[in-house]
Amino acid sequence: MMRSKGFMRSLMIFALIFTVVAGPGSSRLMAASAGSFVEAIGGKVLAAARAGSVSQFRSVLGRHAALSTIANYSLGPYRKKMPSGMKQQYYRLVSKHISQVFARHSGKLRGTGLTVLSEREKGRSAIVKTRIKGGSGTVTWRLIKAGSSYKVFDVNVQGVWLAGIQKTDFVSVLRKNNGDFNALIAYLKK
Amino acid sequence: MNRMVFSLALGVGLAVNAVPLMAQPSNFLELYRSWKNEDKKVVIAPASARTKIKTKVRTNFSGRKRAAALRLPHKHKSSEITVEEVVAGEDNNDPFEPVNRLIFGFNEILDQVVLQPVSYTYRTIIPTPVRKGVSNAVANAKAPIVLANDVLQGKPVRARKTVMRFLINSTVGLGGLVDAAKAGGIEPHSEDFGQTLGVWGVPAGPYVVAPVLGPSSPRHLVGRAVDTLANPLTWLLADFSLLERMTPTMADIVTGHESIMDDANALRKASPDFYSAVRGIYRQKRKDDIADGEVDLDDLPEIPVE
Repeated sequence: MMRSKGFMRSLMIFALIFTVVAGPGSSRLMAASAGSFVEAIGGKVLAAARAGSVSQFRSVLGRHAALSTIANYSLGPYRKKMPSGMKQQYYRLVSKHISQVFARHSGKLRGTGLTVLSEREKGRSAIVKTRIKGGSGTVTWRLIKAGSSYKVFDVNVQGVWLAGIQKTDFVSVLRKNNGDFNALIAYLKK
Repeated sequence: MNRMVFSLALGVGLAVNAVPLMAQPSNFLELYRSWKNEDKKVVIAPASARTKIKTKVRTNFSGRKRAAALRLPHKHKSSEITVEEVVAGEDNNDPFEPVNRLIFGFNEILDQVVLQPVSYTYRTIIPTPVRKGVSNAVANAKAPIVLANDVLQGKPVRARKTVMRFLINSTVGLGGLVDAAKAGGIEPHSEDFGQTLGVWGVPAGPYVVAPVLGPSSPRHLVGRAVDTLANPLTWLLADFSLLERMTPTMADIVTGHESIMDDANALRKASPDFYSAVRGIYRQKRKDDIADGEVDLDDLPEIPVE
């Protein structure tokens, strides 16, 4: 109960940013560094947050997030057990689920843009630390290389990574239902 | 007068929250049954499987990753955990989960019956600027503890910021009611002895849910005890009545609870397993606090290959 003040708030905020990853016109992001990629999409991320539309977030997510990778990661230890025939439906529902979470809490994302504080790359992933202009706190992005550009895999706000928490939720549903993927699908359809 | 307001708040809270809780078929027992049933579904890996994981870790990883991976909890649901997750420190390390869930259930009822009504009342009768002032003053009173831990962790820059913040807020900030230092560009940060132990390399130990205090670990609990003993307020108030001695702690709890209440309720409503969600967030947040927000690429979980 005596948790630190930003403790629970973290989940809500990171969920917002995660789903909103850039908008149309991404070709100019190609061949950019990880930092400039995040900086370029920052304005669109925050603009999408202001709009708060589920369909807009789904569109943005589809363009610049590594959706299938996030969805697979979220299955945790059940990753390899999902029937292949179910995957496309699962990916669509994950996209919708994240977009809905974002739309519900979009009012919490305030700012006019992102300032890149630092960037590092290792292997096929990169970490970019940013600050929201006109907002508070830092946001850290985990990207994966996709051709000559990047896709967003995860976002950390106030110390909490979204993908890890989403995985906790999905695995909880699967554990409670003896690994029945239909239960997870039903949960995502709610 | 204060006692009257508090009693009224408590009475209303009990009436609003306790009655529906009791009308339901015992939340507490349901929680107990749920973990009991859930536990039956989980196959605890035999020793041979654990050995297999350890061998794979020794073969595939080196240095710090291997050391982290080999710290498997005594009783672990390792049949459901991949090597990558163990390496990434994402394993739950929750060997006391049944007991933890029971205490978590107790804390939830306490939250519904006492803390939420008190927080709602506090929010209703105290204007936002005053609540902000109280919150700032509570944070300012923790400055000596933050400073001690800044020093113990060998962080002179952060220690200097803590001193500056304390001096500015205690004077210009009217005894801490106004965060004048933040307005001047000196951002606040938190440190506690649990974090200091983490910086010194002491492992967190298994996940523990403490009555009233909530999510914790043995390292965190030791840290809380040391911070309490080292806090000048503890000794300054030593000769006062219990109620007066508890006032700073109660103020901390109420202001802290009020500030997270809405988000906690939203998470409580949306999460399929609130216990697991809180555990995950707690672990990530503590790890981030100890690292002062710096991300170590080696500590991040593996990204699945498509």
